[in-house]
Amino acid sequence: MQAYNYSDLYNNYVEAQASDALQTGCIQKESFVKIKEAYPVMLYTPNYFIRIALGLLTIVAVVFSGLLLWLISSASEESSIITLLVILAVFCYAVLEVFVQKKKYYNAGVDNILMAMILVFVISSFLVTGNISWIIMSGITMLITLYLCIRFADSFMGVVSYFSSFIFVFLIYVKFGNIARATAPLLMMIVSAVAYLLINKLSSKTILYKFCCEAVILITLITFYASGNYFVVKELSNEMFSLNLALHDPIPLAWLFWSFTFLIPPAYFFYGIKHKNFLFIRTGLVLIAATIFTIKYYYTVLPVEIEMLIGGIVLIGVSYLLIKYLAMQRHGYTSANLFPHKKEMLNLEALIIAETFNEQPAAAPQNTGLYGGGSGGGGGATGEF
Amino acid sequence: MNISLFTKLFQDGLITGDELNKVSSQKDQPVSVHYELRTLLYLGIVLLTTAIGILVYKNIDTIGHTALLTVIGAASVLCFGHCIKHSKGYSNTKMESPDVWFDYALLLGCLLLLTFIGYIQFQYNVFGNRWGLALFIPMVVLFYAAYYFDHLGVLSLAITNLAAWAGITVTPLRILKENDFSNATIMYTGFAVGLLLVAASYMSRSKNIKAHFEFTYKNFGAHILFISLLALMFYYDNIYFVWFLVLAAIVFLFFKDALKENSFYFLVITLLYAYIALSYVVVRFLTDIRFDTGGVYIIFLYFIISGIVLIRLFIYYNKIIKQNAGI
Repeated sequence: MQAYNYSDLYNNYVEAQASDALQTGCIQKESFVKIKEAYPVMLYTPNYFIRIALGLLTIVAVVFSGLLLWLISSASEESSIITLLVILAVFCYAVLEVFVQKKKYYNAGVDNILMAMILVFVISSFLVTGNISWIIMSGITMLITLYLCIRFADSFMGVVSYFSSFIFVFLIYVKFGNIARATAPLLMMIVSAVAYLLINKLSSKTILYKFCCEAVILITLITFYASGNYFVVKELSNEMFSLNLALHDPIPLAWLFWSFTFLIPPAYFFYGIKHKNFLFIRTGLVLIAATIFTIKYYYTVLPVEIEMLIGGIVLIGVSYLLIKYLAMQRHGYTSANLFPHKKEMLNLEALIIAETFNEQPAAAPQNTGLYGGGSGGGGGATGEF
Repeated sequence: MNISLFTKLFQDGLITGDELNKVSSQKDQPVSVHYELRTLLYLGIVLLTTAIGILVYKNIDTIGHTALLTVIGAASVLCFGHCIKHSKGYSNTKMESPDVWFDYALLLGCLLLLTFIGYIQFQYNVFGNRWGLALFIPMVVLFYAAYYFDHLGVLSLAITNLAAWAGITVTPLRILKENDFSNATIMYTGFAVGLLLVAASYMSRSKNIKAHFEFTYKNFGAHILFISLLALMFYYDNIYFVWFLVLAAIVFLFFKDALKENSFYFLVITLLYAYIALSYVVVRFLTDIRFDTGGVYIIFLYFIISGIVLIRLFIYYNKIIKQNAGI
């Protein structure tokens, strides 16, 4: 089933671990070189930027191959377009197999894009038919991506597979009448939780699918929260079952969904802190923001600028105090930068600063003189930088 | 890290016992939440400054301009004062910032300065019709602060201010949206600013004055330069080939530099810009000689073949750079 040799993927894993150890200063450069010689990496994974370029060029080549094929076949009817799309999907798969087996491409950009293209062509062939069954579509997406994920150990395919099976289960369950509809959020939470437990277990056993598992775990955390989130439950059921609820109309079990909305993000956050699990910490933080937006959607407590002011002061205060507090290491945490020489991070930070703090209007081109004169100049006259 | 894996590596004699001990004690080491806390602090500052902006805008009638200007000016002076007090002085090499607060105080001081100058120009028209001066003065201060206090973020602000002074926008998300690329003056300006920034990056490295500023200069410079050149090529219909040759020459220089510096990033962007230019020339050429179905076939074939050729080229140079960099 696996397209790669076990030893190839295993050596890749060993190299990643050794590289971690080298970066944290646990092992010396000589040992790292020795490990690399003992576990040679045969898989082809180029530099990150090269991968992006290869991906873009693969899109160019595949899209124009499709257009050329379409021009030659001059397909215009529905059935012939579907045939064309299926041929393209098969073609992509064949190319993918050749590249992986002959050249051992592994996350090289080309293989990732070819997998995505297979999916795009298959889904498009469904969309062309006009009257589509979402159940069948999500079911087929689930099967194709699951196969690709297992065969090529691709984490994006793993994520799509989990997500489409999630939708598949949901769509089937709500067909069972009103009680099913009312309990669907709870069922989807259970589905997320079960998926989390299974994948977590798998993750500790496999080293080849570790990255796939981690990606899917992140999505299970998000779907678990989203299934219980008041906004999602209310607005989605409103939309899907045409309930015509107004903004403040109650839904059954509202208290339960509000408690989920409030409790899950901090629970993730503190669990993450306790177990030093950054996936939980970061997801928790982002979901706390989601909860704040959920509340704000239904209730206006204060004018928005006052809320921002308070939020800003609290964030600055808390993070500043924590930076000071953790300057010495406490409870196994530190605010010191353990890898201070990551040049990329600094360059990225500089770019973000230039982007977010630069509201100056591009000088409107007037032909008088070199500079045209924007209405605000500087950092924006109102102080809204 | 996987302890059992490293135990096996130790048994195979690939790592020493000392190294194994270090690996197994790694899980007791503190973990760093440096970037998490910085992100939160940064978000807080964005929220706070935006909120103050809105508040001021809504209450400008009751607060009064003089009071507001005084507060903004005083806050800016306070921030700069903090930085001057804690600064270790100027050096041509990279300086570590003395404390967490330092970077943010400097950034805030600079932003407040920009607001202050924009405000007095907008409200009192201090610089009259010489709008350029209202951008030139903060630009000089920003460059000075970036060099004196060694701050990459302030340097980026200074560069965007330089571009604004010249009349263009260079920040990543706005470079294509907010520049009017049907105006020849804008294109020539972009070309000149790009050359200037690339020259600055070259000087940083060769004279060893803040050599770590090189990337920031070159990054802004390369994008505005290539985009302006592409725009010039599309704009001057009759002599597009001349601009193509200029672009090709600059691509060649960047390409050589990327290989010399082992930079994957500049290799990729240079070749992709070159590919866009080349494709334009090829499509133009083919549509000029014959525009029928046969021509379309050839264009499609061109994209398929060139895409594959370029993929092979990238794979080849990936290998070359890896060998040269010894990774």
